Amino acid sequence: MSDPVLEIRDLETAFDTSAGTVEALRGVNLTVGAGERVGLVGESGSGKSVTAQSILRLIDSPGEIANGSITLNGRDLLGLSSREMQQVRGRDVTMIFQDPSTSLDPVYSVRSQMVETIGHNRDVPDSEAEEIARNYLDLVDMPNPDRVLDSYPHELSGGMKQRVSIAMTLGFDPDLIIADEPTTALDVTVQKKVMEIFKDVISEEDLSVLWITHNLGVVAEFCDKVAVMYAGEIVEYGSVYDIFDRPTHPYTRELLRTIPNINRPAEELRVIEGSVPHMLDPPSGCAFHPRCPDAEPECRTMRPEQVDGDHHEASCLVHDATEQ
Amino acid sequence: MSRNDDSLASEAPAQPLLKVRGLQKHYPIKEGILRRQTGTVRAVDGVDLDVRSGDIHAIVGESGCGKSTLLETLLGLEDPTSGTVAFEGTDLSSLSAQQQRQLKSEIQIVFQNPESSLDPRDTIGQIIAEPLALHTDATNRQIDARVVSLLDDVGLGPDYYGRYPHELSGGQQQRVAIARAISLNPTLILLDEPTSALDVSVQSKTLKLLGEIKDEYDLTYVMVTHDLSVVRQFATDVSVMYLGNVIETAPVEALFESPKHPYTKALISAVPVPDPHYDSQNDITLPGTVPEPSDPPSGCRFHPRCPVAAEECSEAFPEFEAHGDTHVRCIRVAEAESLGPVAQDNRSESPSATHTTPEDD
Repeated sequence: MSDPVLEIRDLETAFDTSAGTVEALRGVNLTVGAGERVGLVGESGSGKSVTAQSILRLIDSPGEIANGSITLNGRDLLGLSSREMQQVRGRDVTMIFQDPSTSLDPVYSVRSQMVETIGHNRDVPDSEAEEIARNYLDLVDMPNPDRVLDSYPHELSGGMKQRVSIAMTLGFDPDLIIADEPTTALDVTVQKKVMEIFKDVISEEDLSVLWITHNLGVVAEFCDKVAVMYAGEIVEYGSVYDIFDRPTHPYTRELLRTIPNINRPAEELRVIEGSVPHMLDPPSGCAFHPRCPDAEPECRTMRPEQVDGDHHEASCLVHDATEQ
Repeated sequence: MSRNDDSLASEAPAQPLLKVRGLQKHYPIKEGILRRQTGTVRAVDGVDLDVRSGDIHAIVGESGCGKSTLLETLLGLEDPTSGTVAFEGTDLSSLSAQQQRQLKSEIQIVFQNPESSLDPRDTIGQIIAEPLALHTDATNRQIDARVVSLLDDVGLGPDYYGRYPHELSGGQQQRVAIARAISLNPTLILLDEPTSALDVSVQSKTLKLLGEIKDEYDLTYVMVTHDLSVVRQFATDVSVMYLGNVIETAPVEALFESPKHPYTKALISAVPVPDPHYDSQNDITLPGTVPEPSDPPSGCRFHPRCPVAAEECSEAFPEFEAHGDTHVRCIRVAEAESLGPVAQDNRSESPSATHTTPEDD
């Protein structure tokens, strides 16, 4: 692989609360290569959003990045001043949110928002910024870019708003896009369209994407690589084929068996026994051991090694990805 | 889980538990200082629906198709503009207030977001006890015993009695909502996106619980959802809505194996498949967006976006036509035959060599 765009090593992020320390991330390693689409999947509280916030250094007190390194195109993000980091956000890394309304200001027209932010991020005059905005609106398949530019966010449907926020993000010409459930709030037929457009644009522009989602269907259709998170750790990493064809970590396997598949007739509903641990007091050893069907006695006491996040690997004492 | 495999029942003249005919719910659009009516939002615009006892009837569709308004009208939260809703053969609009009150205990609802449907100031015990106290003559002692047994039915221990909603996870809160819904031994439970707000592993547990509760309490479910994967795994029958109308109704397997309406095909093919080998080449991407329900297209509501629409589709809205067990409002079913991935995706006959599922290893 060529030099990675994003490299996360041993990342630990914790939140000090009155009840104790919540270890939200417990040693995350992850690599996003140039032009790669990496899916970060997990359930609520698994740490996927905290990972995104850590990359952007949006962890506020009482939260703290306690350990590790985050490198973007060879630049150590954790060593930057807040001013330098401000420039990284938007210029080098941009984020697309689940709710497009949060990234669009309701009182400004799409034109003034896009022109201002693109102009600022690319250091170009307004006329050029508007041209870029129009191009990207065209690229995300907006039928009438000029009319969209003239409109206000509330005049657009959810799918159109999300396409505007994608166009705006693309206009920044970032090195890395972090997309946090960008299609979850959309209807399925709209989601399909937005995903197709996004996919085309990404390959055309050779962009790198970290796609955070809980939807394994979206991951299978969109991503090249997948990192499965559980209790603040990446428990398995691999190509999308590794993960779906040769899942190794018992959590990945159970998760894949649990999700309903629209292409299969109804079968007995499968469930993962137990529930996600509270990160104030994560289980000893492997965090999944209390729910794991394959747990051995040592899983209770020994913590498996973390995955490297660059080849198919599971953080498990019992199962080895290379034997699959 | 029990499935209503007794498909002959649909042939029998047995009375459906819930029979909806020509149901309309329109909202006026009022504008200006005089609040003159300038238009009408046709949220539900002529729905026919039969739900047999024991069914899990899913109503699917996208935002604005009218599925939530339909549910509210069924629950009696909204008065229909026209049309009838008959429950166990009785027209709901013909009932006195007293009778309607009585009927309320027969029809219960579980909402999408358990957090907002549970009063944060009440304990779990109080929340479940409330309908019992309002609708029955049971003593406090009897109610307490019933609440504990209901908690047990939904897989929560008696120690949950004194807790507050915010102390519970989303999945646990949904269990409380289910316990409250079954407390009066209803006949029909309306489920409004019951698992959409939950994580996948919690979702499957909640569905399993709903299946068990249905068997134990001999219930019928009408479930509104946008999640077609859940529908295939959980429902017995499906009605697909588009712009205020049901456009296709079928037993669940017929709908997914052989959808007839072009919109149903598009809807199914839009769902992301958790299989990286899945070939999305023949998937349908619909042009345009759903029209405003205040200004629906003439004729078939779907014709402006339909890949196989013909001239006459803009003239009249087709009536239901039977194709086997499927009822569909479309005159271009034959032309739509070759549309979409479903026709070519016959996994049971020709599994692709590369296709492996987690169960295979």
